Amino acid sequence: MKAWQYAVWGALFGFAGSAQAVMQSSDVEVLQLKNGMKVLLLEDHSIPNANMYTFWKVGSRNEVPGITGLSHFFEHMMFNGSKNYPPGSFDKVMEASGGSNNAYTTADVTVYTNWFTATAMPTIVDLEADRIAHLKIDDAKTESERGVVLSERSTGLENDPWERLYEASKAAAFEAHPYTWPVIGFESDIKAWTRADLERYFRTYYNPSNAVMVISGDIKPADVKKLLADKIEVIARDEKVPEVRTKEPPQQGEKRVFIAKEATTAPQVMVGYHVPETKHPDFYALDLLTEILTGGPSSRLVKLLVDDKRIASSVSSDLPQAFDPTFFAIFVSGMEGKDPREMERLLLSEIDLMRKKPVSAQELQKAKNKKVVDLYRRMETINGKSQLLGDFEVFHGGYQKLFDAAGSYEKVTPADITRVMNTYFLKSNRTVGVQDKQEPADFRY
Amino acid sequence: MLQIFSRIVSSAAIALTLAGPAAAETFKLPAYESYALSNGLKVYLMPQKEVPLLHVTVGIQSGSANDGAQYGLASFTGEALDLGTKNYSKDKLEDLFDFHGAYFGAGIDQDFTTVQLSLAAKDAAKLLPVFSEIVIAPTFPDKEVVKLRERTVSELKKAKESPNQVADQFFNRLVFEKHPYGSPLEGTPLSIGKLNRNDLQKFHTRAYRPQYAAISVVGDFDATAMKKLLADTFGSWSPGQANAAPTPAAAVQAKAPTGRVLLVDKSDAHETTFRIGGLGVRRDSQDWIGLQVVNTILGGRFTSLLNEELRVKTGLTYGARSRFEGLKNSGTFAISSFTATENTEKALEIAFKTYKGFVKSGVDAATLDSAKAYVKGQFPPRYETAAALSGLLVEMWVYGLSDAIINNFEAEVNGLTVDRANELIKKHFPTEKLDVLLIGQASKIQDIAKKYGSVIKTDIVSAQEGRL
Repeated sequence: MKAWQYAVWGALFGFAGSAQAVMQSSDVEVLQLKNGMKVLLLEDHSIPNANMYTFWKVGSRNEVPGITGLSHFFEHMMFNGSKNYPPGSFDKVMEASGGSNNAYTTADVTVYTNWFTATAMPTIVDLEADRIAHLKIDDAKTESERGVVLSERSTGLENDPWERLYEASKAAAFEAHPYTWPVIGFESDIKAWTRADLERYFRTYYNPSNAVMVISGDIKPADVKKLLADKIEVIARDEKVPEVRTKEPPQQGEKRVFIAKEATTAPQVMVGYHVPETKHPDFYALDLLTEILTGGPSSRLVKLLVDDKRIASSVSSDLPQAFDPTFFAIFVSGMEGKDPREMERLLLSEIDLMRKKPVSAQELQKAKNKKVVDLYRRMETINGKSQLLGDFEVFHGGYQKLFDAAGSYEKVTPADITRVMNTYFLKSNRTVGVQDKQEPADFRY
Repeated sequence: MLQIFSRIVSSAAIALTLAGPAAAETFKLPAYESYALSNGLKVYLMPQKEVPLLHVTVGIQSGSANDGAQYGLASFTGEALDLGTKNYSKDKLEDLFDFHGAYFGAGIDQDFTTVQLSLAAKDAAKLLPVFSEIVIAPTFPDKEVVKLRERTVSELKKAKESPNQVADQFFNRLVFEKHPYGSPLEGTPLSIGKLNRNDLQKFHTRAYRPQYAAISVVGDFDATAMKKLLADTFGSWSPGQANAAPTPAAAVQAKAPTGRVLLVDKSDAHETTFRIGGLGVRRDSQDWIGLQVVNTILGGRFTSLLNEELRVKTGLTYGARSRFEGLKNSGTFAISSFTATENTEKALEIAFKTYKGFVKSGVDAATLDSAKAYVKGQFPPRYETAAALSGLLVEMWVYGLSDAIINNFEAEVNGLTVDRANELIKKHFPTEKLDVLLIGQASKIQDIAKKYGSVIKTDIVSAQEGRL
């Protein structure tokens, strides 16, 4: 149905639930390859297909000025030629055998995805192994792919009204940590990096010990293990992956950003706070907060800004999965002709209220229920299962945590929510961004 | 926003609509049963036990093609259903669905409307009665209609800031002109601004009738209990004054193709977003599956001719595709892509050259085999969720499609010969004087536009209002 979609209510990330009827920890088979790569296998015969997700622990947080966006650009180059598959053939061979692929890059990880008819497994493993072992950077491809990435950056700016404001607000919020720059990088860097940069990146970060692979679907584990032993386990590199050293110093006062966009129809406001990384014990309370604040039409901020005050057409929030302390952001898409200062004032007054007055047990239960059902929704497909297992393995410190998630949410109390709000949702720790035709008169108090 | 998908822009508007399955082991439509309630409501039940979820879709045989001059009436009526019912206020409905992690929503198409609920299986007895009340007896409270209207208008105005969000609507308008299939699906700022409670009630009374509707339930349920629940909740839906059958949109007369270029000025654009195409085929065309295979070669996958030429070889764009969109009585074919303003001329030249070359030369055996493997391999995951299957059952009902579109898919794909594929290309891909849509900086691209036909120059506000 062309125009049907669920409203996207903030949280990109929902899980929890007593998943015993669905997928259990014991359904997952773990392989620890000799080269350091960890592999998770999940047998599921619901459709005659399988998928392979490879999570590499490298993203824009591993970059430095001058090579911003290189992780993402490198991801493009992983499709453009290796020893046995010259440029163009990776996709041609995969598609001819009934497979398709994609990849995505975040600030923390680069993830490669293959979706295919289960019988194509040997071809897929061969393709994947060849590029991990013997990537070849082709000069002509580097140049044409530069154009592709410049187009990708520009089409994001052209079509996503939040992109510029989000980039600017995040850049203001982080002054030291590499989360400060956009994942896609700065235009000048995209135009300037060299083949040497790419080759160094490959040697440094594409060490199998820096990856987690997840394979789900209509598979015979014994056959898959043999393929992996023959093709993947034999790839070894001894280069040690460097740690990201920079830690963001504590923010000492509010930061404010304004973006002028003459062609905008209505103002947009965002408010963001520094919060801890995904592995931190406060993650579950913060994740429930995304639901309490913006999870559906009855959530606090939607009710207030959209329904009661009629000042916004939608509100959402985002808590990224992250290795390092990250950025909890709330987005207000304003109504035409309304005052962005009023949107901000109302949003902050609700935050202040929540710092003083605990949420009700019912309101918290609603957020927990939503997480449970959303988890089932993600577990409906072999694709969702692979992504969930990989996310938990990489970001939460082990795929088993997925099966404890329900309990972790359940433990969160109204007092925890209040405590978390009083720890992170403070004026000195916040960044406010506004995009409108022109700057409000007294935008900087 | 935080995650960059690097290879394929997956937008619903340009997604492939493959109508059929298959893989190493043939993929079949899961077992389902269908029957009708005494009021005429068609029911489809398909059990799927993997997760404790349900997806319910109600299909209504009226869509944007039934809007008449009130663009967006069907869409806005669907959006307004959950503003209140006899027993539940809007707030109560929202609290109830949110508390149970359920999602309610309406969808709009040219030929039909859907009303959907995604919920946990255990909540069926509690939430289905509420859902049925929303479908059957919404009250459209005036105060809430006014609020939804102003929000919808604001969002529609915002949509035109993103060319990708409005391009397909503009293209449809260009191809269908004043035919109902050219009406803006979700309405326009002006047309929605004029709708009131009375309009919605009238439309609901006319269109939301069980004899012109179907319901599909897919997921984890007990059939006996579900049948009883549906009888209890939807059985009382009154057929009303019969004789009010919705009029489906008339067949579109093939017009003498005029080869027009709609140039939509967006003065702050730094890209040109474009569509090239014309009339295509109906959704129930016997040639549908064959066309999906053939279109895969032209613009339906990463290594398609269009993506190869415009992205892989030249780096002019992040992505280029083509697709057929099938409707009840017509359809469209469109090539879609975008490029930096300064590359507009080159990108259009390559797009036309690639397309004309494809139509002229046809396909070879190796490429056809690869495309066949690809569509068969990519099919089953399309129907893995309760939501997808529930939607499929309703679409089959709307377009009068049989299980064969799924169960014979593989055989039909396998049986497609090179000769037949080339016949399909000659028969269905529009070649004479194509319609072209360009959204971008008119001052910089108007001279290029002239090369492709007679130019209709307009601004983005007029285009959004459906005024060409």
